[in-house]
Amino acid sequence: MEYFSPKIKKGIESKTKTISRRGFVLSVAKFAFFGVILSRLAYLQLFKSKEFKQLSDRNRYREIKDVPERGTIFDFKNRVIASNNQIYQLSIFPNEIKNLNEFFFGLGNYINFDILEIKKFKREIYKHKKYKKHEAYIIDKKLSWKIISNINYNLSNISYVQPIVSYERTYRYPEEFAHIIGYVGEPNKKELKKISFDLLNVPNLKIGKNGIEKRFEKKIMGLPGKSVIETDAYGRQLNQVSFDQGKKGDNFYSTLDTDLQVFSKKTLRDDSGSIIVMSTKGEIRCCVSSPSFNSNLFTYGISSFEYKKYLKNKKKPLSNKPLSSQYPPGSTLKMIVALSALENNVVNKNFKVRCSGSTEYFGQKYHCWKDKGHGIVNMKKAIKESCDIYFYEVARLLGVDRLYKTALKFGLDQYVLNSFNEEKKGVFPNTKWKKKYIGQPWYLGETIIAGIGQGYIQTTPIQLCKMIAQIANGGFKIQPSFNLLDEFALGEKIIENQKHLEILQDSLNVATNEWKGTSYKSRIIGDLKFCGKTGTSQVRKISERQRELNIKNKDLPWKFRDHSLFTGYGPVSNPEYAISVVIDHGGSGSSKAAPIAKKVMKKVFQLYYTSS
Amino acid sequence: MYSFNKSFIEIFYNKLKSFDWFIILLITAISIISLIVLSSLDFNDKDLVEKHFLRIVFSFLIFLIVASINIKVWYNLSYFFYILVIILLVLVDFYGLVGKGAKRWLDVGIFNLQPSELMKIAVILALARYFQYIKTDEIDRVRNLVIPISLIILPFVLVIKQPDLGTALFILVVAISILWLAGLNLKIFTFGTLSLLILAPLSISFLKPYQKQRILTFLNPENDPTGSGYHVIQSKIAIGSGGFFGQGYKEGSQSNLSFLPEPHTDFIFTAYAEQFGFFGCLILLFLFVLLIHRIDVISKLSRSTFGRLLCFGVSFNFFVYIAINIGMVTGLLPVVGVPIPIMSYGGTAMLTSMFALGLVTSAKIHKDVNIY
Repeated sequence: MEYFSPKIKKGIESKTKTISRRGFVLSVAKFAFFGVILSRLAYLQLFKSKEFKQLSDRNRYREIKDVPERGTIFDFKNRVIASNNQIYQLSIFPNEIKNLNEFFFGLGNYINFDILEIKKFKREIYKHKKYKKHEAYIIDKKLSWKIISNINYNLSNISYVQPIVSYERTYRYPEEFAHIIGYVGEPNKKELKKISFDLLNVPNLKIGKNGIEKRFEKKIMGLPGKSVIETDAYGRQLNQVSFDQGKKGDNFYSTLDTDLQVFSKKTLRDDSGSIIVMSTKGEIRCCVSSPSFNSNLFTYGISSFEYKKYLKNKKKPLSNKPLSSQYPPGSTLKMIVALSALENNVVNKNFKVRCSGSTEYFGQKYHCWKDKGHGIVNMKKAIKESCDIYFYEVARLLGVDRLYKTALKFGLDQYVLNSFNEEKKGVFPNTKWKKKYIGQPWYLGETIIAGIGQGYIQTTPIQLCKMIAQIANGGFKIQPSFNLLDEFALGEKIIENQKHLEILQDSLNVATNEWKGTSYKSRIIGDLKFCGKTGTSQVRKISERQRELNIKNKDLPWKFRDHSLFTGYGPVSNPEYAISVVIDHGGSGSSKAAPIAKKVMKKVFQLYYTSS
Repeated sequence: MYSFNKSFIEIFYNKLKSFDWFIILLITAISIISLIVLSSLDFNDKDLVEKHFLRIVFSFLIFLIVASINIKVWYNLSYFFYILVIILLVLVDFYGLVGKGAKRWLDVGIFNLQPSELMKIAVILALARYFQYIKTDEIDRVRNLVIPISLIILPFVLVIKQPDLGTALFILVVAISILWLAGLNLKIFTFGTLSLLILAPLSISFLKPYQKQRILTFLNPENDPTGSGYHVIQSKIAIGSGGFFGQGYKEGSQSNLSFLPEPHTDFIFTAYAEQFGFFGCLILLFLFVLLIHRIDVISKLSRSTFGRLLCFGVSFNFFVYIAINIGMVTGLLPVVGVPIPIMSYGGTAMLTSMFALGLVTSAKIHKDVNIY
């Protein structure tokens, strides 16, 4: 205190001293503050320098990505199924545009927009402005060369727009391959989370939404082009710092055959169902789902009107039936029941049962499809004429758990393809399964109907095709696939006893190529023959009353009619192709599915066996 | 005639000899740095460097003239100058140009004059003159405090009305520093500080919304990164990205790509720091410290109380300029729009700085002049 308020002295001397002392104190304060400033500068420029340098770079550099060109999808004869068109679009920076209505009105002089389109774009632009402020927005409308050259010519009169060249996915056969090739579209939120780092912030990116486009997305997608641009605080682009052209996606060579696919699709007409043809080594030549949709419509986001139309269709055009529809296999399972019984020594091929049209187990009546009965049947005849009574008895003797093991060996209750999004696994029940999922013990009656492929059993058409292919190829395991570059080789032998195989193949042959066989009417006459097993899978339980009334399938409403199935292979002498045909609510297998299979198989013979 | 000539030359020669060459050297050095920074900026206005150079030359002439005039003349002109600036401030209220939400400038033909800048010096002059008379032991008497406090309150109110809170507080702080130097009792300072602390929260309710916003933004600039916090964040990024040796001349991306607001005036230090880094900042700060220290040294040489108070006042004035400006651009203080002396592009500020340095040099040349 003494220092700051000096003892009062008279005159100038004391005043000068006061000023000097207090001035000194002020100087100390000044230098102290300079010390603070210096340490602040040191903090910013020495300790935090790296951080701020990054922030500074982030301020001025913008990364602009270009959509990569997707790989072309070929069929097995190198014919294009899916390719890309160069298209012209307009790119804008929504931040710069003050009045969107005026903007679209002005653009209307050059491009025909409909009101709904403008509404959609406006909604998207508002969203874009919120989340991706500095990024370009691409008006997702395909423009003709005429329009774009007109815009280019008048570019000085049109504000904000920048014409760009981009790629559009286009499908050569948008209906025929719609399900199996799939389509592309904008990624949704969930898909954006999974997307790779390179593909983030690519304006107008389209990704595979399903089918092969989705399954092989990583291969097909390619790498986006990247350019780094220096901009000022107002987002004006000053110069290009770096440029990377990106990479076109790898081409995908599929095992599919365009000719066969188109033919099969045509053969199915309006029926709801599916056809699969695969080589007995597993190359899938055709995989048709009917009715179909136009996959090209999805590239730009399908209109809700069209989409609703597809959704309302009771035949479900959007579902990929060969992979995802599940049906009780019906009589097509009988080969597996027979094989299982033979392998487990439950019966031999001479085992006989008397069929009188119906039989009784535990007080419950079980019917054969043929009311009059087949008389005395052995295994060959039972398969040939699809006698139900025979298989009830075999199944009873066999038991469901042993049947389950054999079914598993042939790929039922398992995925056929490797991580294919749409594929369903099906169900093959056993005693443990029922306890776990239904919570009830297994009833013997359920074993009886499992013998003719009914009950809890659910299979997909592709499972059935793989199953029959593995019988056709001499009893070897196969791994079906769409990828031509996969190695298609016969795997482990699953029918060990050659005699068993001969019984099965022989029975299947007579089922088609001998009088009284279930698919005798659909046989192919000539050097090359095919054969197979029909199946009729019930959608509902037939009550005794209905049986008495003898209601025909035709008289029932569509959705209560039986599913019509056929699985087979050809040529009989040297089986190389397997087929499965399923027609939803098509009636009996021999009346609906078998004739279709015959037509397709004939086409197969014509395509692959006639030298021209 | 001859004798008059001879004596005039002699007098001028003598004055020239006692001119403070060190201050002139520092002014030159800082001016060169400011010209380098301005030339590095990519501005649409290409005459920026030339204009600034002309202002330096013009202000330097004023500096020389002010320095050669006897300190006694300045002593006698003190109140007159103060009243003149007060009149200008009142004129601003009526005829002022509006910019950035405030009336601050007067259009005087060649350039826009900002009287509140001049007031920073005028209040020093007036207080220094007043305390020349007052004896140290009489200073605390209420009777003797009425005039100096009125001298401070009047411009403070006028400037705050513009409204320009930053400059008003600036004037207040500089004026209080004179009271402190003149020897006002410590108890009054303690009492004053305490009452200010109590009044500060109350006075916030009288602030304009934008002033409140600035204070809030200062407390947390990241809260509003695109609004008022934007300036501070961008300035910090620019300074920080300079690192030790800087991005290099003309390589400052923040200042040249418009990320930095006003890189030629209030944020010129930022533009400098981005290009020349911590090393450059050290040099510049060292020059400013030397300048302030030199003025303090001159203050002690002066025999008159007026000269001493004037010099200390100017040195503190310079310090406040630099401290607030650098404090503001580094995010230590709120953004208040205070330029950095000699460096910032701006007419009045340059003129005021050189005028003040002229007064200091005059005090040095005429250090032995007896005022009373």
